[in-house]
Amino acid sequence: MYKEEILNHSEFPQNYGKLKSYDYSGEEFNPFCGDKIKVYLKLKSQKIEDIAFESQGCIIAKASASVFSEFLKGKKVTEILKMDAGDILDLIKIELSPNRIKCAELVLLAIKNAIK
Amino acid sequence: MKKDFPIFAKDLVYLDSSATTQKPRVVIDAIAYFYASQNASIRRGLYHLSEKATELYEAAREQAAQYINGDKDNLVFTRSATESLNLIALGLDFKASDNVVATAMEHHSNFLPWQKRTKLKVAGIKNDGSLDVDHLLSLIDKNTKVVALTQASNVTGAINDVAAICKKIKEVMPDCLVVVDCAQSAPYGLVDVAKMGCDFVVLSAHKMFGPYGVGVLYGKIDLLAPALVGGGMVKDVLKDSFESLDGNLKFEAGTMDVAGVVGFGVAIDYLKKFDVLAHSRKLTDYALKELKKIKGISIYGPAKRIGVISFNISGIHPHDLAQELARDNISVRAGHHCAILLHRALGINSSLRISFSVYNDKSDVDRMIVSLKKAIKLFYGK
Repeated sequence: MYKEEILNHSEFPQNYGKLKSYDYSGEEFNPFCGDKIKVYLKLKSQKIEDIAFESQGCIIAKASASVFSEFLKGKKVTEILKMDAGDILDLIKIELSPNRIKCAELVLLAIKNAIK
Repeated sequence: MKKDFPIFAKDLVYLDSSATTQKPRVVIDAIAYFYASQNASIRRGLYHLSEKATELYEAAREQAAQYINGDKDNLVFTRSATESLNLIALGLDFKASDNVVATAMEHHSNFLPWQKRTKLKVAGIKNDGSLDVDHLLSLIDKNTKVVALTQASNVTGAINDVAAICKKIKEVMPDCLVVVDCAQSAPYGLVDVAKMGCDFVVLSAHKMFGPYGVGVLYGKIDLLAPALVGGGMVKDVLKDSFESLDGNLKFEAGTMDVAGVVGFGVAIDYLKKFDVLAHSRKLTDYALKELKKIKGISIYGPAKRIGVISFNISGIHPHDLAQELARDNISVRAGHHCAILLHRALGINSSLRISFSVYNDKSDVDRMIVSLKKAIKLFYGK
């Protein structure tokens, strides 16, 4: 299940860290493993101009945050609010057991916490 | 021993017995036989089946009491060790000034019921993961109503010398009640209420080869008010009041899992055939020796432990490792194991845990080590 691309994203995640200036930040916690993710969002005309995240998560959590953050740039906030775990799984293109879907979803939940 | 356990008919390296043990055929059969041939509501029927079912249920109470060297009249069946701890916390009368001291080693189930009820102070651990008993004693004051203490950690496996700790607590504050979580230690035959000197202990059947849905609350039940009320626990009911039954029955409100309790009795008989501590110690020593050879490993907890080992490999998340092991049919646990406080005290978010029971052998450890090394290579290989 660990495709090269996913391992790469996990080792060298895109948009990792904190934005110097941001409009919103949000956190999400995975009670199953104690992992945390924090996202920082900069918006322009209700679209994502820039995004960064910090995470202590597993490979799946890091890689999906990396892939998803790249995908989100330029996307409308209203569009993001409609997304769910399925959209992330489509993006990272790996099959996950039910217990690990939350790992992939963590970044989206943090973003929703930030902008809601 | 795997032959006694039907689940091992398939390829399975089961290293998660601290979460729940597998069930031997004798227990599964006893529960099925109860439903097929002995089932009736206990204590309520005047017919033979009901009398027989009551007899079986009470015989299991006797067995459970004997197993911990206690008296059956002080033993209450509950639905889980968690429920037992909640029943104690809810059943005691707390004044506004009272407090409880719990240890950082507690499972959430011996922490949250107290936190919800009263002021809580937390005793720390030493660098090796063992309990800092001096710190615990220093937290006790004249308002400390309860000390909540585990006999063995479900994360580090650390064993607390309950008898010695109780003695010290009672020297400082004779009226302070000591509530001991024995969910992890009971399968190892470590529970002897006559020697431990504590006031309450709780057990969990499903960690002792028994079924889910059965727990034990043992101790000074006269100090408790029944938190659950309803059918089966009452002597007389008036429009605006009721009178509870005497003794342990007043804590068994509602229909109990009679088949489960009967199965638990059979599980205790099965468990008594083994020296679980000696068996797990051999495996634990062997596993520790092999694990220590792995580069970047951090193993938590002191040497004196039950058959539980938690560890991390530097730079690799335990979830990722656990998933790789699962691909080789090896069942381990990754996460905080319902002990977030202890993980914080150890300076980590999560860990990988392996735990043993009588059906494990050296080959299980070997397969785990091979699979672990393979997984590490996969992640480090990048």
